[in-house]
Amino acid sequence: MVNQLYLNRVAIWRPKPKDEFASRKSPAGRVYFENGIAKTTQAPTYRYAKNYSVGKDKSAVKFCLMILTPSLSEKAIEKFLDDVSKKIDIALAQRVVMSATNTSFEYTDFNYKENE
Amino acid sequence: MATPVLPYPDMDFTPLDILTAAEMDQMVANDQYLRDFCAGLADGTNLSDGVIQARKLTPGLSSYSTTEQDTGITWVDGKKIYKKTLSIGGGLTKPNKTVAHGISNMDMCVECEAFSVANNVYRRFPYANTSLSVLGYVMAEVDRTNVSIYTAEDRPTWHVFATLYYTKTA
Repeated sequence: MVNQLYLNRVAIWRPKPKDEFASRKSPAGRVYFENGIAKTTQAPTYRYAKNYSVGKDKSAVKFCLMILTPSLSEKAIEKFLDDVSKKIDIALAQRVVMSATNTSFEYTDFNYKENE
Repeated sequence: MATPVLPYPDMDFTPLDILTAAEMDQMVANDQYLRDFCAGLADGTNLSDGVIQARKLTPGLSSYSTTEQDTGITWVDGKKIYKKTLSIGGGLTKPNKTVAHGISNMDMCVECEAFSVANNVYRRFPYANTSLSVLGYVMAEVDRTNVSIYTAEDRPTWHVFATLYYTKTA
């Protein structure tokens, strides 16, 4: 199932092909949801993503945190994702990694707020 | 193990991305490559020689047992080859010592590895003693019920073992 898009909300997915923090620009006009209502972005948005792992040695689970936001504050967003990654429970990571497909992922309860 | 090399290694897709048609094709190609690679792991094509430890193989290949084991190997007619080791024991006297192997529905014995141990000396059968003063041969015979060890001389101290490889009728 394809997920609805939310801006500024951290999502968890299986590890992306490259571990490092990376961004990708999307043009304006993407459909996203806010309070259950569909809207379109009026400006470009940016997808930021980075791989992390939880657990140790052979029991470690690798996963990806990603976020879609209009913010251009790369450094701040990377730090925010780094902080969120430390709060990810290994059971959640295992469940998401095992069930993720190219189109399905899960949103977390962590929201990015500019200038916070 | 072969190392997977994606056809498009720079593809860094996440589900939050919008892809161009060309990028979509690249992602599909990467996915297809990984599917093929995994299939190669499953059928052994992508495994390098020597990566599987013997103890990870089917027990019928990696260990001996006095109970019947499936070796994972098939005979020329496609039937499974089973394996069982028998401790035939000592008291070997001429002309033979016969014991029941206890294998049900044996079809054909395709190999019999038999040997004896006595006073820390190992002798593989068929055994022939080349000393002129001793008439010595020992051989093993297997039918669908028994294993018989034939000997030209009494060998009371020899402890005999035999491992049978065989197919079954059912």
